[in-house]
Amino acid sequence: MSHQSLHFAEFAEKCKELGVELVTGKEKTISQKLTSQVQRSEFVIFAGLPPAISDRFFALSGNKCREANKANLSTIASAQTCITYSTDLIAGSGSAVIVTNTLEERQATSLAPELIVFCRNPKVHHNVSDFLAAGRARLSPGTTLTIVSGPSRTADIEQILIKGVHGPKIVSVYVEEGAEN
Amino acid sequence: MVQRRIASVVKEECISALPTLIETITNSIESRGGHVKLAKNADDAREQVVALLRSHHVRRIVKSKSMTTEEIGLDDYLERDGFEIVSTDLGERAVQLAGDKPAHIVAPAIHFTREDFARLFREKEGAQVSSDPEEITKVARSLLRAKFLGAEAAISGANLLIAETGTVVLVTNEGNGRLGPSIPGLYISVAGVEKIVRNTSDASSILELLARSATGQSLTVYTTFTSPPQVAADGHRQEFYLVLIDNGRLSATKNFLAPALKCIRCGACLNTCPTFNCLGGHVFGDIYTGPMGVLWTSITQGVDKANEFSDLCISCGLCSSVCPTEIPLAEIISDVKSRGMNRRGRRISEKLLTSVEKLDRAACLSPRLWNKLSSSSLASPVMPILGLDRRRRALGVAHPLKFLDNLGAPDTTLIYFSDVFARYHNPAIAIHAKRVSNELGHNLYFPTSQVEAGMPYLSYGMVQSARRIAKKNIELLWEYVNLGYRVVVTEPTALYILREVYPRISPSKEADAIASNSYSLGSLVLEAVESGKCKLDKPSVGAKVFYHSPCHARAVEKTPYSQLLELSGYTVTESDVTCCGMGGTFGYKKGALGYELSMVVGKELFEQLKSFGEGIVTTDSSVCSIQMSDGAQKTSVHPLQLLKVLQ
Ligand code: SF4
Ligand code: SF4
Repeated sequence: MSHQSLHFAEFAEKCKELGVELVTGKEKTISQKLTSQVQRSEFVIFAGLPPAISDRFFALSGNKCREANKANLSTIASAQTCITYSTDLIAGSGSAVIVTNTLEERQATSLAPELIVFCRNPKVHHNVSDFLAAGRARLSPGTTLTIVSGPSRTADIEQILIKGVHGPKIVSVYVEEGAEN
Repeated sequence: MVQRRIASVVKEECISALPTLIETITNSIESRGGHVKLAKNADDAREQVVALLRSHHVRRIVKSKSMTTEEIGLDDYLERDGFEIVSTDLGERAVQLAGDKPAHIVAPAIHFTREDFARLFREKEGAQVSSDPEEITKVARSLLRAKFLGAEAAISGANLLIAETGTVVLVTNEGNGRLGPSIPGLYISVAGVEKIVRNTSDASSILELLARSATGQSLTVYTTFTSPPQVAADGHRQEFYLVLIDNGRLSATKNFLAPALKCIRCGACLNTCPTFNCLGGHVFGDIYTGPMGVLWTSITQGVDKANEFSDLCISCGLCSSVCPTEIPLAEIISDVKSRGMNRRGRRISEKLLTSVEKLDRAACLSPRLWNKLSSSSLASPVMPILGLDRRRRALGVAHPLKFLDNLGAPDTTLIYFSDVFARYHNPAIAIHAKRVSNELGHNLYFPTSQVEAGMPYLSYGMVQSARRIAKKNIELLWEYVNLGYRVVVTEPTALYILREVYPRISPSKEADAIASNSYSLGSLVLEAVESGKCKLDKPSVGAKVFYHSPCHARAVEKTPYSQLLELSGYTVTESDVTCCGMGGTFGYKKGALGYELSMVVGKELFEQLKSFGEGIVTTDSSVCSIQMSDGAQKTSVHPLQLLKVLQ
């Protein structure tokens, strides 16, 4: 087993622990699952998807979707689902790294009750230190890099764990295998 | 351990380079169109923030978790000035609605029940909400969502600031730290200068450690690296200001408080502190609470302010042992107390409790006379006059321990570092230690010129005296350790002192060598049993034993005695309380800051002892043994008394 496969297996375990749905498959499977997901949602916002991918998703989901960068705050805030993109996953903490380049993308990934992180052949790092050491963390001016590890949560009330405070209550990671990045 | 070491070194290096790092981050941020302000103190910081808000004509502000804004009293100040500032962390919002202050740096509303939360949202926000935590959270989400969407400015703290890239790193579980700064046109980050690290590599050494120490997570849900200024899709730039707070930090880099600047605000020291857990942050603390609160209050408001609650520390040492950046909290707190004592003078009880060995030596001149006097009806009225609680008894003495075994070769002889209890009050412990050592195939040699370990001096802030004592014992023990001997103890405080305290208060290669060659006798027994060199007799299989593990034992090692007792066939119930409350000699003092507090802290242990019922009670600590006797009327023995090693 390669390092990547081992890390991915660890990532999958951690996702289970955090209550993150992990969907893996080839383009067709992922497209089908995403389509049914989008159909369940009334309104979907895309944030930070590479153009080729957002075009594909637009084709799948028709007029239910909008690009965050072309929407205003109230439109963004009304989305039930946000689909975003990640190139890096972190095994030890079950995290996905999300980079947003505009305030709207950051808003979209923060406000929607449901967050879907789409990845194509992501690089899976062992832990945060490995990710940061790999030189893949983009900290250029204007960008926000967020390492998301599961649904938003609080334990402020009598230390009882409750999901979905300000950020998404449901987080899923869709990993498309075998495609060219 | 390695991660802690790395994080500690990284923080140390950053703190010592602070002036340069302030310059670097200023350049990084300003070269990209952001702004950096350095505020000398709390007043200056508040005024700078208000000036920024005014100049941007904003009134509605959302704030994400920031103890630093609590430190500078920003919320009240802004509210008085007509601004609407909303704390968006759920716990902090409840605290804000109650007009209260955070009780804990990580869990600010730890003192509220679900009913309190519901009542606050009903009364202050007009919400229809039951006391179901799910429902309260849902209601809070929608109430706060409206505040986020309508905010004209966002204020956040920072967990780290990366100088090289001008990046603000914020970790939150709720997502408010990520959402808040994404909406308005103005974003102000208010952070202490000690949050600056050099680069992402420094940041990575801290992030996982922070999550683990704060909440036990592998990583906090959102670790957000914002490299401002952020831009909107239409190219409009969000205005960004970093307000860096000095407020005593830069001068602390040059004094005894410097190690405290390594604090990453994880809250682990609060969670472990026995008195904090009994009294809470409103008693044990000011803005910053608990063990770290003593340090941070000293830095930001001065030692006098910290002295108002530093005496609540009973010197158990647990905070130092859990701190992920290796801050010697217990020792710094001793220093803080010491400054308080220098100002007010030593109380009679403190004089007495730091002279225990001298008094013991005098009492041992005629043990019979002393024992008669100390147990007579005259003794208890005298106790309060001496500042001690009349419900405590003066301990009886025996003929002092003078000799155990001859000194043999280093591989056949262990060196016994005693404590005053085994030496003057209960030499039976030393006799059992000799028996067990002999059963292991070793002599137990007792160098009589050793002096007391010195813990009371630290507890009462007499750091110089503690240092003098440390030097004497180091000098003596080094003679043996240098020749390859190992040092053993029967009292956990003695081990804590040798391993943790002496190397800090009297740093030298000798102190380090002694620290790494000192063991509890129990751990050597366990090692021998586990390696198959010997086994343990099982004299009374199934007999019930209650074992209490003392704070100082847990502060230095995984206590061996519970396992040894089980291997000896006993059915062991181990107490799960962090501290018996005695805190060395703290519980001997009269009044609220002494006996009474010690009994409050010990309450849970006493209850566990009562529900244990009949059976053998054991602990390796002399003071825990006294406390269990006074608080639960249970007589205990040292666990060595219950062990028999077979070759
Ligand atoms: S030494 Fe013990 S009592 Fe004192 S502050 Fe630390 S944990 Fe609390
Ligand atoms: S002093 Fe240490 S344990 Fe306490 S909050 Fe700071 S880093 Fe955490």
